[in-house]
Amino acid sequence: MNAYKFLAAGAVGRFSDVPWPQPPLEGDAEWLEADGPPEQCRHGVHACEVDRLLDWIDEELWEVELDGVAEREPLLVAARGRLRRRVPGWDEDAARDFADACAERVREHAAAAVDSVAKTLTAFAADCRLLARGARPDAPDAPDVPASAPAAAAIAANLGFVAAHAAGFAAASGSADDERYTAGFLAERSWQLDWLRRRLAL
Amino acid sequence: MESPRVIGPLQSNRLSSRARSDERKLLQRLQNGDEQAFAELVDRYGAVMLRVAGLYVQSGAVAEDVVQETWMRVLTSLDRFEGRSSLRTWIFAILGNCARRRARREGRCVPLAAVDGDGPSVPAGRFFSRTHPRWARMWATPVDDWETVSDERLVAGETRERLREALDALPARCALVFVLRDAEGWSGDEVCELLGLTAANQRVLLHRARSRVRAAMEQYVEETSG
Amino acid sequence: MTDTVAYTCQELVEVVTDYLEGGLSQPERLAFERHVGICPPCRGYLAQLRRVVRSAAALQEDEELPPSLREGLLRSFRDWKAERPS
Repeated sequence: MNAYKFLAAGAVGRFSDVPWPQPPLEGDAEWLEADGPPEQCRHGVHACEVDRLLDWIDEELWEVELDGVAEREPLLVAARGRLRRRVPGWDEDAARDFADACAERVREHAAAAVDSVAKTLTAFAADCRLLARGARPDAPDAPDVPASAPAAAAIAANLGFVAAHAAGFAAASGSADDERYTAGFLAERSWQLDWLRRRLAL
Repeated sequence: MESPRVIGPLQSNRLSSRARSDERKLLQRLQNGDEQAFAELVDRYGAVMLRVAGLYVQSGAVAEDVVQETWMRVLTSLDRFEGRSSLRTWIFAILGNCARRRARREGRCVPLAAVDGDGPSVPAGRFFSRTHPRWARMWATPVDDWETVSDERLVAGETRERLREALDALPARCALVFVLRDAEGWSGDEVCELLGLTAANQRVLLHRARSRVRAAMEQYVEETSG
Repeated sequence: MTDTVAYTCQELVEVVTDYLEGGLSQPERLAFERHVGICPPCRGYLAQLRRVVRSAAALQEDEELPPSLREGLLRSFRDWKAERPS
């Protein structure tokens, strides 16, 4: 079956640290074989379907072919997999645009927020401005360009989560653990997923 | 319980088959009385053996004695080595016996099971406080991934001295776990067996040492960049 | 979003070795990876600890035996060789 996988630069697994064999100019890539019976987060080749992509945003997005899928939730885990093709639309520009779009959404939520959470939402929006350029949140003295700014993809992954968290916070009127928070969080994630699908034609 | 999916190529723990075959050749030469082979083994394991012995006995001189005694026992029992374990495992098992015997004679009780607590891996000041309205206990300062820091800079000359200092400042057993695991490439199981540790305690000691070494490297990288 | 395990950064830095050594439960591993996935400084931290592990091999050659001990050992070897029945 076909699935997707975000990888670090050079088609390296973010967590496994394993370089995936890349497809040659013509023909198929070599299979990456599991190191043991497939098991969530432990052994096997991990990938996901489009709707789970947001948790794993990284520098390269690949379409992968899986063989011997043993588990499906929360991730697809298979006995082996191979890279089909790199999704061409996912690059630094796309990552930056995604981060900016997420930050913009937080500003919109802040503008629309009810009084009880407006102050916090405004603070989240200010945090997002810092995070989007690679600084830490709540850092008024952060330089415009931090010496060790994270990769654009890492910032995108971060902004997506923070924006969803802020949206959940707004939806729950400030309390962090109730159903309204989850609903707000998921609604924002689903907006982000639509953005990704549209941009990348997934 | 090793998990190659995560550990990946980082830790090629156990002896590789090539290392095994090198070891067999070395053993053969040793049995033939080849002094060069003995010197190679001594140079390979001697310093770490001294570190291990130092855990059990009071003084450096006694630790050297223990290492001496160990090698004599190794030589005199060479014919009885059956190759069921690796030569390395066998030598260190003998070392452990010698060191424990000596420690008992010195009336020293080595509390090998306990792993006492220690400060946090990263100073609390690097994180937002637990009462921060939005970012409680999250990083307050950036953390560089060192992608642009060359190996040269991380492990050459001056850094290496800093690392040594960081290791020397650690409790001996903690430093030893790091040296065995990360510098010498032993497996977790081997270290647990040698030092009589549970897997969890071994991880605590390893993590403490790695954290200190990381902090020393980070400090060095920050001081020397820009 | 019904995860039972979630780490703050301050908690995460304490379990990196447990993670690398396979000492976390499956829900903990997933929580760890999800956190690292969306947290740039924790990504950096994980990369740093991996670098520490990788660099440690270079420390191996630093370990040296005191020359007097080394000489003593080689002498013992010669004695052993001379005395053993051949």
